[in-house]
Order: sequence, then structure tokens, then C-alpha cells
Amino acid sequence: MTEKFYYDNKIVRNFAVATIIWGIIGMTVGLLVALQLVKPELNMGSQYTTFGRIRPLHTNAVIFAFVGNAIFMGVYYSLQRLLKARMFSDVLSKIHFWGWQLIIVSAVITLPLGLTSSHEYAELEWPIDIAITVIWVVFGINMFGTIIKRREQHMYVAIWFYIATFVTVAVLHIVNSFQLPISAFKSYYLFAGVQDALVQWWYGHNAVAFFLTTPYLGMMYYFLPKMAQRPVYSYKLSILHFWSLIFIYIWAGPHHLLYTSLPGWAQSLGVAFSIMLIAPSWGGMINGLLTLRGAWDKVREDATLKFMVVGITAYGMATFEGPMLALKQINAIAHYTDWIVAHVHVGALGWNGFLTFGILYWLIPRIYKTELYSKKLASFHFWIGTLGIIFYAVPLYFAGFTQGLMWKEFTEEGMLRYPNFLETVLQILPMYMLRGIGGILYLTGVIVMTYNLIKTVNKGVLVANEPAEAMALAQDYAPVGTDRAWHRRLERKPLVFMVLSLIVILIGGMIEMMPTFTIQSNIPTISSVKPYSPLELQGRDLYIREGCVSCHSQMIRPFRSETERYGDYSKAGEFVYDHPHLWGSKRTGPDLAREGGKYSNAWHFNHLLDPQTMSPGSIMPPYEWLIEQKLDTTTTIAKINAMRTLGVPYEEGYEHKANADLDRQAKTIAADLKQNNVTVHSDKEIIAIIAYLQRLGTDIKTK
Amino acid sequence: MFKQFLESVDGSQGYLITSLGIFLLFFIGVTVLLMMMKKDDIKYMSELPLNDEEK
Repeated sequence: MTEKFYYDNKIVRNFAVATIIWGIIGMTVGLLVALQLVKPELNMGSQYTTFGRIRPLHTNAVIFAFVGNAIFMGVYYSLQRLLKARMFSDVLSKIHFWGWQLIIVSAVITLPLGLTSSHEYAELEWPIDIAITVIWVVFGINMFGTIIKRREQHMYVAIWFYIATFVTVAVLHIVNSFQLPISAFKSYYLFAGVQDALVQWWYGHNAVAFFLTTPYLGMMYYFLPKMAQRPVYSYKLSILHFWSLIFIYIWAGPHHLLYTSLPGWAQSLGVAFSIMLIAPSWGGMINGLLTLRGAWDKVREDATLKFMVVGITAYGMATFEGPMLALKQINAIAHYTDWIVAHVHVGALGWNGFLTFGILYWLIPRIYKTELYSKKLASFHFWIGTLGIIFYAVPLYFAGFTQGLMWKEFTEEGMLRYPNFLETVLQILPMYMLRGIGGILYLTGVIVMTYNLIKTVNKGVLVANEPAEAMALAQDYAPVGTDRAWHRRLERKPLVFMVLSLIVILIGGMIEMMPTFTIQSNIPTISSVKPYSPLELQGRDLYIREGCVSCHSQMIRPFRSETERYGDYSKAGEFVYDHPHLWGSKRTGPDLAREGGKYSNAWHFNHLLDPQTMSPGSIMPPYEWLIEQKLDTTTTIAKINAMRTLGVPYEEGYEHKANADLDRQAKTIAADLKQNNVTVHSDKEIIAIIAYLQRLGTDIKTK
Repeated sequence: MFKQFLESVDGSQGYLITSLGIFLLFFIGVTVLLMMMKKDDIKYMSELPLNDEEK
């Protein structure tokens, strides 16, 4: 019997609007942080607008707000149509939409306030983590509810990608959020040092895989055939590429930690699987591009398809480059440089951005029953966007390569050719400027698109509830003939499918993480490594608050070029009390793993007050507020207790003596500063951060 | 080039080989099952997105 029902277009529209608004905001913040690297004055002298605090705002806004909303827009549109059913519950759709926006707003408020967990791409503190979990479950219920009440027996490949996305993001988010709260907006990660780094990059890498890739592949598999008016090139390839992709991706995380203190076998495993990853990634790209076979004449005229073609090509480039960067020899040069920043932006601007724009141009006129306002403007957007990507990526590749080689260059006498780190930064500033121009071009395109879409919307009327008809599924479905085949069966069983996907993604994660967590010999302890003093611990939390980790790594790799510059290479045992680890992933400034004792307290004081006085030309922003603000010592007891719970050997009852110790150490530093003509009261924040910096790497430092 | 990786494994070679083995089995399994799929099914499935508006 044929049933009449209505697709919910309003929720799709809402997510589309949110995509555009957050896109503009996230990219504008991105442009600001990019220009701050050229003109430190753009940090605006306020702690709420310094690079360290708003760089995570940029990454969170573009990943979770722009791309996140775009995913939900694409999923809510395609899922209903592929399953011939309205979304399971309008109420859940609304809760999902508003809940997600609320989470983003809370990020916009907390990150500039310095409330951060410091885990890259998971900076939001624990109450927001819980909110994300709740809203993600709401999304899951809504999606599986729709799948269960569907009118189409089989699940199209796009839906598998959505299911894998749902399951894996849930697992990643939960494991990477194991935190011990110590106050409303402060927590410590359960794991420390090497283990924490492994969890973070298992998460970080797979956030790229299952938030920026799999949902977009699902959207590609739905929207591209729609736009080109022909089925996907090879459905078999899509099955093969789906299962191999989700199986392999999960193993590749350790390639973010090559040459670090992570056990060697885990690094090798990460490298091997990263190289294998080329195959399924390119399987997807080729399947996408070949879907356009015989339709290339349309690409010439249709801006929507142009966006898709360049987007998919960018995916191909980024997924070829990724495995190359995972090779140890290349990673040795590229890691910590702008090469990585260029790499992720080819993916983000090209793949995620362009696919989103293509889908918006295709979808908005359809749900408003009208034509796009201006094809010319869309075409303009395409060209300025493409130019933007080129202007963004090429200078940064050049900058990354240049700086990576400069760090490693020795003179004939065997000395570092550029012993002053700053010299290598000044060399690439023109490239940063060009990158800013790329950003301006790209953002201009987005604004033009927004105008074009507003004009389009004003021309039409939203079909909030689009009528549709389909046969109901038979209650007692008896498979006949080929419907009994294995994958056909699987495609009828969404929950079994979900469990299978879960098993597939868990295999890699378990094999990689279990030994590091269970076998002692993987993290050899060092007897001279002692827990931080209360003042240093407080200073460390200020270092986290200010986002110093955005620009300074704390991980010296075992290369002569690094041991010459920074000191002895980092050992796993040095980080056993680091909840969380602060290894970092980018060196806009020098590594700080052995910063302790390198400079005087007075040097650090003056440098934090105004970096340019100590290093002329430095692009580090000034941190005057550290001198004005009083250190909050009311949290010391909770912090010591929490650390002890996590296994840091502070003796019982030490929490009550901690503040006295803190005071004593602070007064010693203040007295030393006074001797060097710097007068500052010992209860200021700057004292704590100096104490922390002076401690870094000194436990096993050889003089 | 790969010699360097294998040397740095420190007796954990078994680990690497096992992992690759698991993947190989998995990959061959999916491929075999794929080859057993029928042409008609494939055609039906691949046209799902195109058939979702007419009715």
C-alpha cells in the first residue's frame, strides 16, 4: 500500500543557515589568527583575543560549527530521501539543532576565557563534553529511529558512512574525554604523558577521519549522483572502500608522534597503516570523479559540479600527501612546521569547504522551489575560492619546507647555521602575509555565496514539509533470491551494521593502545623525575590557559639538529606526571622541553611582559595581565588531591601544606627578581608561570 | 627505506606482522564476498539516490 508522508525541509534549512553563519565567523577568526602571526599588535593587548586562546576558537568553529552543521544538513536531507521517511522525531531534530548551537556558543564563550583542556581539537572542558555526548546521542536516536521506520528495505552506501561516523565519533569523544573534574570548568586527563599523547592523537587523527571524511564521503555518494544525474561509478568499489577505510584509518594516529617518546613499534604500526590508507582514500576519490564519466560537459557550465570536482580532487591530494608526511624521513622535516598547516587546509578549504558550498548551491534552491539567484556569482565564488586555496597553501608549503630545513642546517664547522630560532621565523613572515591574502580571497567567496543564497531564498518559499509517497515495508519480509546475499542482509539490519562497524574500528585502536597502557616496559620510569611543586603545577595550568602549547612544543626529537638547539632528547619517563601532556604539534616558537635554567627569572619576566624587548622582531604577543592578576591559590588543595587520585605520588596530607610551599617558592622567585631590579609581588600569576618554565626538563638535565 | 622501520621495532615484529595479517584477512574476506554479489543488486543499490523523488 502506498503511504503519503512529508520530508522535513525546515530542519535542513536551519542547519544550512547555521553552517553559513558559523562558517563566516570561524573563517574570520582564522583570518585574524593568521594575521596575528604577521602583526602581533592584532592580539589587541587583551588576554581574550590573544593567539593562544583564539586559535582553538578558530579550529573548533570551523570543524564543529561549520563542518558539523554542514554534516547535519547533508545527513538530514539525504537520509530522509534515501529511506523514504520523515526524520524519526521533529522534537529530537529540534533538540539536536539547538543543542548543537548552544554547545558552539559555550565554546565561543569559554575558549577566549582560557577554559581549555589543551587536547587539540577537543579543548572544550568537561561540562561541554557531557553536553556534546548528550546531543550526539540525540542525533543517533533520531538517525536510527528514521532507519528503523524506513520505507526502503536497503541502506544505500551513504548511510553506512553516516552510521560509521556516529559510532566512531561517539567512541573517540568518550575515550578522549576521560577527565577528573576539579572545578566547574577545570579538569585533568586521566592519562599522563605518552599514554595521554597516544589517546589524544588517536582521537585527533580519527576526528579527521570520522568527522571531516566519512560523513563527507557519505554526502558525496548521495549528492554527486544527484547533481550529475547518474549512479555512482562502482557500487562494489564503494563497499570495498568503505570497509577498508574505516578499518585502516583507526590505526594511523601514531604518525602524529613520529620520533617522539612513543614506543617505536607503535610508531611503525602507524606509519605502515598510513601508507596503506592511500588505497581506500583514492578508491573513494576515483569513485567520485568517475561518477562524472560522460557528464564532464556539465562540469563546464555548472558551478555546483565545479565545486564538487575540485573538492574531491583536493581530497585526493590531501590523502596522498598524508601518507607521504607519515614517512619518517619526510616527517622529520615537515613536523612542527607550516607544511602541516598547509596540508590540513587543502583538506579543510578544498574538500570540506568546497563540498559544502556545492551542496548548498544545489540544495537551497530545491527546498525553496526556485532557481539559484545568480550562476555568475556562484562561478565567481568558485574561482575566487580556488585562488584562495592556492594562495593559502603554496606559500605555507614553501614556508614549512624552508623553516624545516633551516632548523636542520649546520655550518661546515658543525655548528647550527641558524642557532637563533627567531631567524627562521622572520624568514617566513612574507609567506604568512601571502597566506593571509589567500584567506581573504576564500572568505570573500563565502560572503558572495551568502549574498547569492539570501537572494535565492527571497525569491522562493520554503517547502517546509515536502510531500512524498512510497510503499510501506512489508511487516513479514521474506528475502528471496539474491536478497539473501550477505551484504544485502547486512544492509537490512542497521543495528547489526552499527555493531560490525564498531568492532572494525575497535580492532586497530585496541591493538595500538593496550600494550602502551598495560606493559610497564613501554614507559621506562626515571627515578629523578619528581612531581611538580604546587607553584609549578599552578604555573602549568596557566600555561594551559594561555594556550602556549599552540606555538611551543615540549618534545625534543632525537636529531642532532634538535639536541644541539634544545638539549637532550625527551624520554617517555619524563612525562609520567604530565596530566595532560603538552607535547604540542607546531613550533611557531622554539621547543620548551628543556627551557628550565636556560634564562634568568628576570629574562622570563621581561620576555612575558614584552617579548620584543628580549627578542627584537619576535611575533609572540605580550602577556601583561600575568603581572597584574593574582594567582588563585584556592584551587591548590583540589589540584593536589586530583593529581594524587590520578597516581601522582604526593604524600597523604600534603594538600594542606601545599600552599605554604607555594608561598615559599614564590617568595624566592620574587626575591631573585628584585635583585635584578624587577619589583613584583610574589602572589602574581607571572611568578607561577616562571616557576613552571624554570622547572621544564630539569629533572634529568645534564649540565 | 622500510629497513629503518623494521629495525626500530625491537623484537615487536610479531606485532606488526600480526596487524598486517589481520588486515589482509579482513580485506580478502570483503573482496571475496564482494565478488559473490549479484549484478542486479548492485544496479538497484546504486540507483537508490536517483529514485527517491519520483514517487
